[in-house]
Amino acid sequence: MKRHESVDPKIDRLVAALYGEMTDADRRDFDAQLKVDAALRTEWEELSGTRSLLADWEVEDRIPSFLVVEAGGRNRRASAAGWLEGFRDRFGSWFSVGGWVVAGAAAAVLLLALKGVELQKTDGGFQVNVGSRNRPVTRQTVDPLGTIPLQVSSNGDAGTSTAAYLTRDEFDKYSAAMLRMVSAYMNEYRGRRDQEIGAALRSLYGDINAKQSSQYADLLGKIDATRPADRIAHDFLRPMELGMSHADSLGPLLSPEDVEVGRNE
Amino acid sequence: MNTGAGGSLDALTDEQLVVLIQQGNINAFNNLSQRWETSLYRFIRRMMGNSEDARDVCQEAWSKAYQNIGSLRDGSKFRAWIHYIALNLCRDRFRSLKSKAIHSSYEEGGLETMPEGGGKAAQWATTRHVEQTSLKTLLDEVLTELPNEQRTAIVLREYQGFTSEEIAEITGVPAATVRSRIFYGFKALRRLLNERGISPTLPA
Repeated sequence: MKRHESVDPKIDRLVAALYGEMTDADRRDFDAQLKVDAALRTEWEELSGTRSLLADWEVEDRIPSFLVVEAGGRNRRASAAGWLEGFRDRFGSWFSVGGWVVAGAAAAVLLLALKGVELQKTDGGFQVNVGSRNRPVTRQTVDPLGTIPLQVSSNGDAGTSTAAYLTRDEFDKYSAAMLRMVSAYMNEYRGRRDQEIGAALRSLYGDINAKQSSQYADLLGKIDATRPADRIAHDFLRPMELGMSHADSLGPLLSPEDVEVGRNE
Repeated sequence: MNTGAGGSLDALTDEQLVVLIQQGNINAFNNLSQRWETSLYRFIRRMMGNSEDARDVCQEAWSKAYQNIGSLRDGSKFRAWIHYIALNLCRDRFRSLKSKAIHSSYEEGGLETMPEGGGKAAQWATTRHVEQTSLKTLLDEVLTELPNEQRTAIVLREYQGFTSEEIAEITGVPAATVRSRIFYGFKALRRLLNERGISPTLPA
């Protein structure tokens, strides 16, 4: 709902006149009043003078693009560098573990490796920029046939190119270097992951061994406690523990009912 | 209506593109966003006063537009609608930044301080700004000092080319109020420039 504020009709007419939001008849009345009303004329000149300065308020930033791409049969949002989103889909688990760190490192290396190419992180992914705002790559430097517009670098300045282009060969070279670099980082990450899994398995194996030894020692202790005067069971089990068979020399076996063994915790 | 490649979409109006988008045509949305991305970014940039926040808000505005375009009934008003979305996001961002600024100014010992004394302060400001900053930078600075309502009205009218009636639709106030905000915004702008040693005059 619109709020209603009291507005001075004089102010309303001044701004309406400033932006040409008057009928021709109203404008003629306004111009006639300007000639006879000194205060109105002063306001008009101040307003017009201030407005004339605003032409200098320029915005020269590179304009970010927003692109919607269709991937995997469903619609989804992506940045101009939508390939990285697809890459994430393909290697989802890899990225979920910490792949963005690796991808970030790859991007940083790429920045150094590919002169003139800038890879910028955005909310939606990455933006690939080619050339310089001050010295953009111009159409004249490359063969117009077979060129690929990789990105638009707009600086809003008339007289300078607002687009940067790569030749097909340059694009192939850059993309091949990019893939090699990302592959190298993936391999390195997998190697580190394998090492970590191996170390974890060795640690687990050691823990299980230690626990089994402890339980075994506990079992022997309980046997000893059950028949402290009778070393037969212990002496019988010890050779078994050592992989030996002295049963014949130790006499008859105890029946299971004779040995009470407690439950291990 | 051709729903094919992006090239043939260039000839369509915003309204026709919105119809296609609502039917699921992604290329139509990309064409529409490409059509207005520069204008919208510059609006947000002027509202936010810096590129970093402007880029974030811009991405978010397009994202919200894509998610909610199904609810846009009159496709001919797409441009006003996307500005409305962006304006609300700017307001949210201002509130968030204001909250952070209060905390950081206390934590970091406050902002740069000016010398005491009105005359000296004014002289300091004049010297500092006229010598060290261009008019463009100065405008960037003083316009962000305007109250949000006044800056919004000026930016939408002066740079985005909306009429007072259209701005009234976007901001939810009567057109006369929009013109009043422009007037008082210009007054405040003139005062802020005067404080920095610049006196706007009507070109001869």
